[in-house]
Amino acid sequence: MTILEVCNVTKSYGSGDARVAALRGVSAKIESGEFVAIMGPSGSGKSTLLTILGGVESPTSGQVLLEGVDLATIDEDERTKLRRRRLGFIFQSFNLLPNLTAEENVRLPMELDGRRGAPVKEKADLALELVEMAHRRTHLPSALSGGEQQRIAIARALAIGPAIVLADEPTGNLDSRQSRRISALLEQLVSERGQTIVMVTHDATVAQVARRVITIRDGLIEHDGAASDVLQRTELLGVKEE
Amino acid sequence: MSLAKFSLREARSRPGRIVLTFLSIAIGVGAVVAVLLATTTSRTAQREMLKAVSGKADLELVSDTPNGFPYDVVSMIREASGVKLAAPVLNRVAVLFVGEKRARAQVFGIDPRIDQQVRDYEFVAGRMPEKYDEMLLDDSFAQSLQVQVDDPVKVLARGGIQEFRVVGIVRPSGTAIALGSAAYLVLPSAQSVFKAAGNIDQIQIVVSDDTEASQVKQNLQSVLPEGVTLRAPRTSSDMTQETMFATENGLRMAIAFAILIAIFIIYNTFQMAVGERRKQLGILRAVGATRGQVQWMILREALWISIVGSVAGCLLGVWGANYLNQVTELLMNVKLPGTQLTPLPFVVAVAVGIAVSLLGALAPARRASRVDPLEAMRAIEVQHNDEVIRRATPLGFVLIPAGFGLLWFSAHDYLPIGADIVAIVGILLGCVLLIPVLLSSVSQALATGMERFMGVESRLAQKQLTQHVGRTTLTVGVLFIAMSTSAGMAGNVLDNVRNVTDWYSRAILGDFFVRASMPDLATGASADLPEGTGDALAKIDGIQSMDPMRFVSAQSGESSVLVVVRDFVGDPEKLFDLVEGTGAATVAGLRAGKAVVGSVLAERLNIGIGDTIPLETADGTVQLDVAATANDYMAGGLTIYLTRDVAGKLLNVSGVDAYVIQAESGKLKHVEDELQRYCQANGLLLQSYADLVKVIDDMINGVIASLWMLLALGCLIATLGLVNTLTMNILEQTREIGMLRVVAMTRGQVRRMIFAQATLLGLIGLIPGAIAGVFVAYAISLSAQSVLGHAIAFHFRPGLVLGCLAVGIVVVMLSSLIPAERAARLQLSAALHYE
Repeated sequence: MTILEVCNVTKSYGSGDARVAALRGVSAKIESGEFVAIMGPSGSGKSTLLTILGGVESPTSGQVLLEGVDLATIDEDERTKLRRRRLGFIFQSFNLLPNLTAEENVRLPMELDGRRGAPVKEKADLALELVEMAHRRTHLPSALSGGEQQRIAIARALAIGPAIVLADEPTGNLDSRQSRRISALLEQLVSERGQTIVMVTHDATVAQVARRVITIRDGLIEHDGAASDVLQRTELLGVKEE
Repeated sequence: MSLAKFSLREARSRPGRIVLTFLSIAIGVGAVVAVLLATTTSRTAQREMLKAVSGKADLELVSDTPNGFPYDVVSMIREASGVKLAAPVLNRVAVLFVGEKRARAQVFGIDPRIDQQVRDYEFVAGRMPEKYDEMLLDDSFAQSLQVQVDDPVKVLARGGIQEFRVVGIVRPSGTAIALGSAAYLVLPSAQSVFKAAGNIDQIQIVVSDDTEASQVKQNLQSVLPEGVTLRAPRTSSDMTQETMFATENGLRMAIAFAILIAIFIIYNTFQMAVGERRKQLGILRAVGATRGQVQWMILREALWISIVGSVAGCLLGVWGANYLNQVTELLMNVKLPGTQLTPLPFVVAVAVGIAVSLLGALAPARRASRVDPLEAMRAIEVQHNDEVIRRATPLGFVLIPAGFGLLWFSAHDYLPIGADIVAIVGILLGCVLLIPVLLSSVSQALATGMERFMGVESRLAQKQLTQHVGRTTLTVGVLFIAMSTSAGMAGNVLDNVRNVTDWYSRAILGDFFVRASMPDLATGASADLPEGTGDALAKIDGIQSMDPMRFVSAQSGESSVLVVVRDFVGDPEKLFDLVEGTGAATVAGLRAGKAVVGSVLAERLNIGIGDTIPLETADGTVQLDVAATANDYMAGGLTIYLTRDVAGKLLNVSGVDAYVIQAESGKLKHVEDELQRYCQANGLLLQSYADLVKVIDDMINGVIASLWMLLALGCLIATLGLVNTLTMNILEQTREIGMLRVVAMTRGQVRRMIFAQATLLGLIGLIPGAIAGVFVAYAISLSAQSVLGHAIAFHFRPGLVLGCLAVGIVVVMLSSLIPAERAARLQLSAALHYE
């Protein structure tokens, strides 16, 4: 089943001579249970694509369908509600609220959705256990390591039971050991729970855990295929980090 | 690029913050300029009026009694060694009629041949009066009456109504100020009008060029008759200053609070600006800027904005001064010249504005200079002034008891007036410094309560506020001080109004008042009623009692006082608003030759029942027994009440300024009609009790309006501070808000979170502020003892407290509108990458 679909999406910034085309007609489908890595050099448009997939930004043209709903046809607040119920976000810099405990951070999207009581607690507990952070639930982010903070961020994304998780450089701020642990965790979510994940990364090692890799260059999809195939090719092409 | 250019570009990129800081400074400076200009204008007006009377004189001889002294003294003075010139003056108050217009005027009887040698004025038109029926008018007075040379003017005084012809119009020279309501007659003519044949009130003396005034004074002292005083010309009137004192003290208090709030806002603004730019500052340090350069850059920014803000504040202040002058005119029942734009108020206000700004920016600038260059290389948490505030917290435990101690000493007259303001400011400041101690638990409790109505947003808001203790403390502090001072001063204004109302409802009793002119509240000066008025009024059927009143300026020790002479008929319990004594004993004491003393004068001389008070008379100093002390607002409370018999003997008082008339029951309308007919025929003023109450109420309302305006100013400053802080809050939370918007929050929820922040700030600052306001009102009422001579009765007004609280909450809510909208409309992708 197609969870997310982009059809001929373009995105431009600025106007006149200063106009920059970040995406120049991107089309792709994300199926349920897929683990997709988006790779590309700096300025290629991969992060822009992720924000458009999440409805954070609107495309200049083209269509984005989340579970069949065209994001352009609903207003800003509806998009927000859709995000908090169906999309999980993971950021490179974790973006936990520093003044909330780990558990409070995880519960926050559900509480903002008006949910209260035992079910919320139950889901938060489950998510924390899933990322093996239940024992750190009462800690503030400042008392956690980078890897631990990212685990909490993943728990926050998972707690709502999202249709798809969008991860923007989830290992970008971590050392290699933590990076491996987070990559393994994401892979485990897909393989054991059937979670759909789209991840932007510049790290080929991290991308290896994905089953499908899309590479972008100059706002266009360059390669889209099985991770092993694409990575092999892109390694030859020298696609590295941004 | 120079650091100055860097600052300029920074300012351009944050116009909102710059505008808010600019407005804070402009309003603070404006308040200082307005009050200083207004007080300077009224004081200059008094000084110039007195200067116009004394002119170029080196010495003046003045009468100790209201009836003056014989003209013969002039010859004696002229013959004395070292005297170059001696100009006689009769100086009385009369009513002038021009067509339908009437005005109270200071009428001078002068010797036209020599007067210009002692008084500076230039002719605008015409010439000096030479004949009996000729008059000279002051230019501004002539303009206000629309009188020109050759126009007729009638003068109503003790000798009845007489008509004069204006032959000249003069303007004082050597000074920018108009004399005001002055008219000049030849001396014999004035003596006739005022029934003062052969008498004068003053002699202006110019000494020879080669002689010292002190030497001449010494020469003359031995030959002077009784009943006169030789002195250097006065440049100020004690009584006028006393009348203005309470109002000016209130204004000073308002300024002190406005400046305190302005310091908070400016400090907070710069503190946040530095926090927000920490990364940029780190880059500057990394690329070679020294600590000194960074510190100076921040201070220079403060200097620029304070200069621009101060200039705008000066303009604002001129407008405010005009308003305050109008209020003063109403209060003092005088015509003031236009606002005196002397440089001093501007210099003082600009200096205050710049000093406050630099003071506010100093600590942030020092912090900026200590930014580690390494901070430019990594993502950083915005730093706050939490440490500074936490370090200052113990000071709160010192300031509060110290403030209470100071207040106690001030209320008991051990400290000069003004110490009470310092004490109150100290206590409030101490309370602000203790905010961090209670912030977490109080905000937690409030947020829990609010969660039911505002959802999880209130909890998020609470967490945000407690995360930045320093910034939150300062914002709550601004609200706390604005609310406590506003509610406190508002309560005190109402207490004062009640006190004045109590006074006039007790001290001014009568069905009707007949007078020639309204008295000057500052000096009591009023035009005499024509002789025979009393006899004519006594014939009116239905008058139960008539109490003739006379207001006489006199000297008691070092103080100029107003002696109020009455017959004190009617219910003894209703004649005075007594501070000490009982009605019956007071009237009995008065009849036995004792005096009732105004509370301010009693406080000044530290006297009460059983003590004596000195009064200068023609026969030297007389010690009068004090029968009672009474609350009094006339002449600033520097009053002595005497019976007509006693005043006649001691001060040779004759004549009447006003009759207080009680009508027989059931004949009120008849008496009013008869009095109306008589007064119209004779050019007199008839006022009913209701009329008089309205006049006084109008004056009081004028004062209240000016104080409300100052309170509104305080609210405005607090609003600016709050908008500033909330906007800064949002800037600092940009990334967090961006994340919240991405993962879960609708725009409405973001708005609600910012409203929740504002509500929490408001509740934490405003509720204790309103409670502290009750204390401030009480503390000010205590310190009124040293200003007014009696404590202003303090009244707790729950309605006022709740009203102030409601206004405060509304202000807080409105202040959060723009920041909330700004937060709701953040560009999400940009916000996620905001640093």
